[in-house]
Amino acid sequence: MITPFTANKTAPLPFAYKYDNQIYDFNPYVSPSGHRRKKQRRNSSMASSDDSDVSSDSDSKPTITLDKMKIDVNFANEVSFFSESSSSDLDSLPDYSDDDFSPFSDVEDGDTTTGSDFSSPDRCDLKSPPLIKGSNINSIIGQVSELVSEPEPEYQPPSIFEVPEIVYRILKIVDVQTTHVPQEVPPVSRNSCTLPKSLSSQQLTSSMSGTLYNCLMVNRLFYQITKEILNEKIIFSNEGHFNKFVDVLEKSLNARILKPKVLVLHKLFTAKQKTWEILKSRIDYSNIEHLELYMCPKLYPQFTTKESTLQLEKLRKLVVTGSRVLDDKFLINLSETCCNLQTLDIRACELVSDYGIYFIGQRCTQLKEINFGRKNRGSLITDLSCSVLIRNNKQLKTVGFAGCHISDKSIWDLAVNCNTTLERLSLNNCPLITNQLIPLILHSDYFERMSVLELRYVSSVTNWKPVIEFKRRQEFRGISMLIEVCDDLNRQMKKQELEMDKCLSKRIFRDIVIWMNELDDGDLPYQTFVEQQLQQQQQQQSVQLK
Amino acid sequence: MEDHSEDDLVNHIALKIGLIGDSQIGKTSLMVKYVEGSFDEDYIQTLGVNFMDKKVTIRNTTITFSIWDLGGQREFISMLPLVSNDAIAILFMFDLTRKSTLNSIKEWYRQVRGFNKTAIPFLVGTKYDKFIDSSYQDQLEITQQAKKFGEAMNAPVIFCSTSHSINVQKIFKIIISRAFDLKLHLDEIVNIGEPILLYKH
Ligand SMILES: Nc1nc2c(ncn2[C@@H]2O[C@H](COP(=O)(O)OP(=O)(O)OP(=O)(O)O)[C@@H](O)[C@H]2O)c(=O)[nH]1
Ligand SMILES: [Mg+2]
Repeated sequence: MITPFTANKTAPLPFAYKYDNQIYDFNPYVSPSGHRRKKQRRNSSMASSDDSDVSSDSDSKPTITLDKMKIDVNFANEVSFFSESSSSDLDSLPDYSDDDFSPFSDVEDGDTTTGSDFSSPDRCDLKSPPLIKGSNINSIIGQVSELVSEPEPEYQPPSIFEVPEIVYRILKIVDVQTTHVPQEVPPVSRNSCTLPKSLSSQQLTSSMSGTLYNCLMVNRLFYQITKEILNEKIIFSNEGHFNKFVDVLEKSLNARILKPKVLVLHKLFTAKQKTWEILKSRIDYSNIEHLELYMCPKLYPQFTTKESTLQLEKLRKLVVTGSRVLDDKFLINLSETCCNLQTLDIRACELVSDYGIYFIGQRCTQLKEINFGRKNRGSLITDLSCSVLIRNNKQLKTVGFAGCHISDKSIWDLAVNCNTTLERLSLNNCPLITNQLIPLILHSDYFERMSVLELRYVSSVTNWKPVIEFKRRQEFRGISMLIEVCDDLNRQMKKQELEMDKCLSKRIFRDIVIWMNELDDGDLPYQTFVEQQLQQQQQQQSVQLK
Repeated sequence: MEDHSEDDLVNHIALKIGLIGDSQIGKTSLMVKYVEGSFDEDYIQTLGVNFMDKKVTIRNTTITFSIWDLGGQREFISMLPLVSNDAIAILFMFDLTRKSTLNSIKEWYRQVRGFNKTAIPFLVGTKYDKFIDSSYQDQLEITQQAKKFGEAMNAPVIFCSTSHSINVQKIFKIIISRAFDLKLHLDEIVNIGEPILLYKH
């Protein structure tokens, strides 16, 4: 049997037990040195959305690579891109016109025409040296000037690194490749051979992560644009840095209001609500897509101001884990403001109960990933709310009910409503699950997309045969199926699997032997062949005789 | 309990089989015959590699034969790894009516062994229906030579006719019995002039 780890890239639920424990067991008064294993990993959903952003651009426009030869090849197209981009693409680009800093203000004559005026002869006055030197770039420039028009002798077009649109794109690519939302690496439990791999990937990302900051120091244009990009994502995983950042925000009187798309605070165990309030006062939430307070136990995010309720229509992903303050009131509020929410991860927020989740389930209908896993106070979350939520959200892909007091009823609701979408299900420590429904559902081949099923400490499940059969069917479909169980159950399951294999191979061989020894297999028996040949010869002879 | 589960569980086995040999000996014909049951007089040269899947379902077990056929022209030898890698059996084929194609087997065998040392080799003579028209002397020579090669390669020897459906199914049954070491109750055919079936050594 191939182990799923090596067979496929299926990772366990991101909120797997080991790391859940960090959340569940977290004690803010103990030094969090155990949590310092900061491993950064690209957040897949985030990255993919950003990636598509860039690649869709490069579909219509020539790719901008720093490979000089490529630029050489594509330049003819790029010329047209310069003149078109201002009209077609401006909405997606940040507007620099309101800045006192003009992209070409270091040009001596103070010429402030925009990059789209590229072919204007005024450009000839440009004196700033191109950022890349070398014969190659010069030859490109030569070609461009030919393409663009008058080959006047003093004509010196700007380097591509002076065109804000291009610099923006370059830096955007740097951002996509090097900015990562900090994430727990899924545990590599039991399979130590995958460990070196994850370590090396960690080294890679951490060595790259400062690249965007370096871009700040290239020149004013780079600084301006990089800052713009950096302000779209506010990500902190270090309390010192975070406090400093808020400090600066507080002190600068006329600082701009930030409009981030991503706001992530990762393991700021001691961050205070007061600090958060200061940050909040400087933030405009209207663009926010991803808000994450990962194990920041003292922070209470709040969208309502005294005057009005914000509508956060763009918010897709909300992660607040291990919070000691998050309560039902927050969820009720959330259900009113964020109807487009797709990911709701409130693991180990133990104040939350059915009451809050019921409102989410009533009003949110776009949910794809939910996680209510918890270690204590599981009885606060039951079928009452989960059932409603499942019935209103028929596209759930990832569901985490670890430790909740849901029963087979919710599982059945999942089977009926999310049969074709569900991929990952965690039922660790769910005490009310019985041996009846899960084996039955898997036996009946529900959940055709499922790749992770976590059943740790669900000791009531003992009928493993349907589970193993389901796993094999999934593997035959090309889905490498991971069933997570505790060691004891694992042993039970392995034993059952071996038994099944023995009996299986016996049956297979019995079937094959029957097939092999069937007499009438479609081949012509030699005897019949000889008779046919004789008949033919006789016929031929009689024809000849006639 | 036991009976119930037999009904709803289908077991799958997949086997890859490579067809190797000189040009125009009938490799593609054999593959098409086994998979589709049809035979075509016309010759269409195989350019590179062909492959087809044949599914055989026996009660609750499905066997999938993936048959890979390499064009016999020398220029396609570079694609040999595609056909021979991971194959459970390789059919070394020759034309019973052309002695030179039998002699080529040595070289084919050497080449294939370079990529796959574990595949079970088979020696398959084709066009048996035409073979019976050749002189007794020729038949004797070819048959003896083939038996000698079969022994040297430790390979079953089978003469077949794709056009007349002789020993086509048998080839694949013998592959299975060899691959899983299962007992096959099938008489060998050893006499000169008959469609040879030698697989029990
Ligand atoms: N009479 C007779 N003709 C056959 C038999 N098998 C193949 N042929 C004929 O032999 C010719 C060549 O067959 P192919 O199967 O195309 O040969 P091949 O080995 O695939 O040739 P390449 O693709 O060039 O390697 C065709 O015209 C077939 O009709 C057979 O058993 N009996
Ligand atoms: Mg062919």
